[in-house]
Amino acid sequence: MTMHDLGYRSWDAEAPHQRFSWLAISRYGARLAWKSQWLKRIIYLAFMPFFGLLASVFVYEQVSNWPQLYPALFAIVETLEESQQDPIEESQQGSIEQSQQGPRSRQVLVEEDIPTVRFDPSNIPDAEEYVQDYVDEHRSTIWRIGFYTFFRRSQGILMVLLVGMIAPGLISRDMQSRAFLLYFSRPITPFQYLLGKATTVWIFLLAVTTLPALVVYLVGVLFSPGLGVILNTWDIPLRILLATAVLTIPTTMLALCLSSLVNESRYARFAWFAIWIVGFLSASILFTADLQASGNYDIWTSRWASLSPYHVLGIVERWAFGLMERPADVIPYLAILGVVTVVCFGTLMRRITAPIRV
Amino acid sequence: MMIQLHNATKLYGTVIGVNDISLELEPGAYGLLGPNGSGKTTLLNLITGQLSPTMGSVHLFDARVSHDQQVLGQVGLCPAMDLLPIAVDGIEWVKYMTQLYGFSAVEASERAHAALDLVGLDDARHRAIAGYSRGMKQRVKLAQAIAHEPELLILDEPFSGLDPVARHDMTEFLREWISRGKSVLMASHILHEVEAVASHYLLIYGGRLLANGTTDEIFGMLEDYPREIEIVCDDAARLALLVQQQSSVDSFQFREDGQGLTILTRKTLEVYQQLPAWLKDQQVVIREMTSSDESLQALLEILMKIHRGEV
Amino acid sequence: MKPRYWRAVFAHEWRSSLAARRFFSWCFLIGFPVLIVGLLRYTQRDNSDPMEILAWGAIVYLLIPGICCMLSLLLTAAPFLQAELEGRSWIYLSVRPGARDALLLGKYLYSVSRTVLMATITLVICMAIGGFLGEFRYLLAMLVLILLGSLAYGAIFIFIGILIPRRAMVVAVIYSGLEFFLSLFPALINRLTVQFRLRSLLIGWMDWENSPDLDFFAGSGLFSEVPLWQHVAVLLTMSVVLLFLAGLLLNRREYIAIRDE
Repeated sequence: MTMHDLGYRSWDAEAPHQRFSWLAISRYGARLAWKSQWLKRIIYLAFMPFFGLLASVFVYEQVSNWPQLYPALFAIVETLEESQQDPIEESQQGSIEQSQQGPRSRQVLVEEDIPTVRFDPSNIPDAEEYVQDYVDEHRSTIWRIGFYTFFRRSQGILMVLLVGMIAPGLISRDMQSRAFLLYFSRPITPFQYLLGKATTVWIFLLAVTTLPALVVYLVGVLFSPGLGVILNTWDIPLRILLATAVLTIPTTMLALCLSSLVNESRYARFAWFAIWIVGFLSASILFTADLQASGNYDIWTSRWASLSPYHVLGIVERWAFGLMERPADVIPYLAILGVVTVVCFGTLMRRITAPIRV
Repeated sequence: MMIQLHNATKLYGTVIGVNDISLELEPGAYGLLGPNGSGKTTLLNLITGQLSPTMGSVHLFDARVSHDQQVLGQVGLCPAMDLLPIAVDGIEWVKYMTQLYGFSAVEASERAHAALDLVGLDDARHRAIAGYSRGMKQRVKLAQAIAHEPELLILDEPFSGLDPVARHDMTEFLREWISRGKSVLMASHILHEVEAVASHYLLIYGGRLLANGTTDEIFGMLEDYPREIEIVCDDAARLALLVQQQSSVDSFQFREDGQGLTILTRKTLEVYQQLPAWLKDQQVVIREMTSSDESLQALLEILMKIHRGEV
Repeated sequence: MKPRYWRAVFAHEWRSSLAARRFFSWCFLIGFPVLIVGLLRYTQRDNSDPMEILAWGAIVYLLIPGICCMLSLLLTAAPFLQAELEGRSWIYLSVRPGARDALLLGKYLYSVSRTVLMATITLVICMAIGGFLGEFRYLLAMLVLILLGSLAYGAIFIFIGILIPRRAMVVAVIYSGLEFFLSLFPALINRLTVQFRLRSLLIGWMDWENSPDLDFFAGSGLFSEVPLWQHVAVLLTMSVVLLFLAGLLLNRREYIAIRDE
């Protein structure tokens, strides 16, 4: 039998650049996900807190020019202060006060030598100067609290819904239809495949967290008295990126890992929501019991916080925005996120490469 | 009447699935022929009540499925899609499907075993469907469709993905089914598969029913219309000189590659019989001769030309 | 519709549920309340003033009729139609006479029975861990709440599953969160929620409305003091009406088998 020379051996050209071919997976996945009406609704809903944060920053920066905004600023500052307490802790403190079991413990926002951000311009002769001094002095703190609240309270919950909608089907669908055969017959490595799938989720998460936060920062700078504000807040964009990494990487790895373990997405979706619901509930119940038993009010250092992904993320985001009393307290929670990320990544790679391992 | 459609139309938004079809079918064996996307599956879905017509009406055994679901007890459906639950055994699944016709667990089990015997699925019935080959899955689908002894068996692309042996088995099964006095409605895009089983055809194209009748009726209808015979030869010019003198040939044209002729004739048989005589001593070598009229596509093209008034 | 039809669906679903690959979901749903209660007991071990039945009962109520039942129904009731539509069985079911109604009723009863069984097992274990097995009144109350809650939430999730089959689970989660939130408002809206009714039933049956521990909540609208039969009637009526609407929708709509999305 004659072997035909098909010309391959004499070919000496360079292969086309493959480094970003995985982006095609992301683009396709995002296009497919965007077809869902429910996803669009949740994305639109996810932008509502952005407008709230935008308005708050605008008020904060312009309040010294508009005395009519004083009450608004007062409300914003009080809201942000109250938001630093965990809602479980807050309600328990209320009931404990009722039963007179002990003095109310105030959550300290930042390091002990910075006074609490009390704002009261009433009965001050030179209110405008007072307000401007106040705004300049506490800008960094207030902004950081605002962005932390945005990431934790609103976008944190919306993230659970978003990822629960997008991620569970990304890999399980390919496993069910054996699309791996199609993917890996192309010059795409398993890691690139995983990166493509993860980026599909990150596109939407970044659109509702990082991008709005950076826009708010920019608006805050543009509506501030001068560029000097950047010297005061230069770290905030970096903190936003850090908080984004904390919010997106471990959660996406977990969701994709669950997706890779099953052939039908509804089981992965169930597992995803169950982890968050059960975790939150467990931590809340056990923290309440601790509160009653030992009077320990601080959920951030409660041993039970590690049971709840929501609380773990909250603690690490708090550290990311420089709002922890003792930054070293974050180390165990960073370790938890790290372990989750690594274990999920390892499981994912194993599941993805299973069809091509001989 | 087994199946009746009166001006049935199905729209998916602005997309026409089935367009103004009227049809009356007595019990028998029918082939629903049409290319992919012609509306075969939509028509079957209308008949089985899975879709409601946007306009017109559909009756099955003189009843509207939407008003009387019990009529579905006389129908067995073997769909085209290769979709089956994967985690359950073949016998368990067929038994479950049979129970949904109202049979007790014991009776459903007996019927399921009998149906699986009939389709030739032996020991594999006790394995999970996930491990079945294409042919085995087709057998399971067929078994769930016949276990309750329906009067009408509806099959959508039953030969799709089957190897020659499995195709033969399927054909033999369907012939035997028909010989028992049962009815079959089989949708396919391959003419010879349907020819082996059914004698009555429904030709559908673009959502419209183009023709309805037996083989003889359909090809008889086409007798008055010229058919194409394509000839590939070494001397097209000489062949053209020979052909133009023949009264049995209506017209001809040269192939685009110049390597032969395409002859149009209403007397195909005569041309076949006379062609050797024309070529005798003329030293024209015929390399290839085909009549595209034997394919479904050609048949449908002629019908479309007739409907458009082009012929 | 003959009982045989829905019984066949019911039996088939139970057979699938007891398969080895479903073992994990059983373990998780029974195990997580037990784990939490175990940890709770652990935190209380040195407490000279042990938790009373009210506090313990409130926690177990939140865990079992609240979360455990909700999660079980989320897994079985909400995606009941999506599971068939993902191309595995719907096309075969829809050509069987009466199969849609059989599917609805069979899967509903399967979801409810599975949830009740799981919740009962975990309830008994949790009460044993807490040392409250002798509290028969509470046990009985909880069993009734588990049943009523499963019936009501099962009907709601099935209705959601038919209305929005592709996104049933996500919508059911959103609904559950919203419903819990709305049940805390002392207004007409909370009377329409299952949580409010279940909470009122528990407090009413256990005569906790007069407990000093609940003085803070008295008059807050978090629970109602109307006769208990009214709450039961509302829950049962809600279940029946939603199931009826679900049946209407299921029979009128056209569904095309879809691939998992």
